[in-house]
Amino acid sequence: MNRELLTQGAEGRVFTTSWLGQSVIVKQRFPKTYRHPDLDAQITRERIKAEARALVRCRSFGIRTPAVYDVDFTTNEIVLEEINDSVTVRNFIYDAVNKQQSMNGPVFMNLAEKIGKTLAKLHDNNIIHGDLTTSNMLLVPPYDTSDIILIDFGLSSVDERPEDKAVDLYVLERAVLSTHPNTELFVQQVLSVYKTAGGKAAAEVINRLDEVRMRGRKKLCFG
Amino acid sequence: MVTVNVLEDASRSRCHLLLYRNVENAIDLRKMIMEGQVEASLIKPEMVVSAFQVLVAANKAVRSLEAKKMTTRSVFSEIIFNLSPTKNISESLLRFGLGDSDKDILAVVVDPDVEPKVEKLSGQIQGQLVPLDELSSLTNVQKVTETYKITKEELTMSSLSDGVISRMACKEFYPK
Repeated sequence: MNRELLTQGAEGRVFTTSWLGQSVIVKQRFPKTYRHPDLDAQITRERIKAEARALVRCRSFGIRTPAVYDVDFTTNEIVLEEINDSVTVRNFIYDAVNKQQSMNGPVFMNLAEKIGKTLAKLHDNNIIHGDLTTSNMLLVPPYDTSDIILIDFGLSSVDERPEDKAVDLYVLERAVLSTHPNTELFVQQVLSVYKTAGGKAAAEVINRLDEVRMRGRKKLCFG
Repeated sequence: MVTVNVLEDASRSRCHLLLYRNVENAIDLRKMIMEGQVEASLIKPEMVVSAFQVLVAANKAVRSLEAKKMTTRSVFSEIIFNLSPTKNISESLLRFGLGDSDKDILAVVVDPDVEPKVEKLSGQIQGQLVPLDELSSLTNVQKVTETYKITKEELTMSSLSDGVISRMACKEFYPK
């Protein structure tokens, strides 16, 4: 079976295909020609390892992520479980808003709570996602009881300090507020649940978040 | 009885899984393996959760063979090594490969030309070929969970098979 292209970003391409009889996702990273080839090979290899590691680490402490089926450093490809019937939280919100559902209603407050708890667990284990947006969170049917499935750990890292965690949350906050209208309460609920679920470390992160907000729209630079 | 799958290497190798029970000559088989007379991977079914788990290991093995970058000496030992969550070859063979007192064997044959290989193997193994569905009743869930270090939190949101394969795929660089 040939590969079907799903998306293409700056980092590489994402395909769906049949692999050993299963439907899978293949993430293929591009070589960056503007880099010195040895350096590029090394950086790409480290990014692949970081992504795969983060995916497996998350599952070990109970955050649902796609399973890793294969990692190939010669083709720079990672083969992942395809999550069937999934919808991104982004599209879920779009659909519900189109159906005139209120962002302040129980459906969204429940969703915000689940996101808050998931992120609290993520950061409690010192994993920084690096690209938290509603496009990188999935739900499966039945959506109202679905776990939050985190995907795309391509920019992830490990850090115990509050700074990167605060930036993680800030990126999500900006993404949600700018993509979906009337989400102020939704975001507030996510952060409030995060703080409660996460304990002392999470409280520190929230404090740090206030500082990050004050810095404006500056993005953190990644290597 | 014989489950055939196609692997993802350039030659599209065919992979056959055969489950034997009430095996009486494990000791002899091990001798034959060491003499290079067995053209199959002989695996402990108790360490196998799904056929897919074995296919992933076999696929990786043939790809390594293709790239001339195998870690072990034969594609058959490579398949067994790939099943293991650790990089220690001897440990892998001990934990996952046929043992002297084993009565059940999951055999993996990788070859474009199935029939003769399967016939040869069935001539070597003194046991009963059974349907592959019986594999699930032979899985030792506790041993598997311990060996691969699968947490109970993980099992609340994923299958054991997915957890196992994730560890197999990332063993070169996970946990650290």
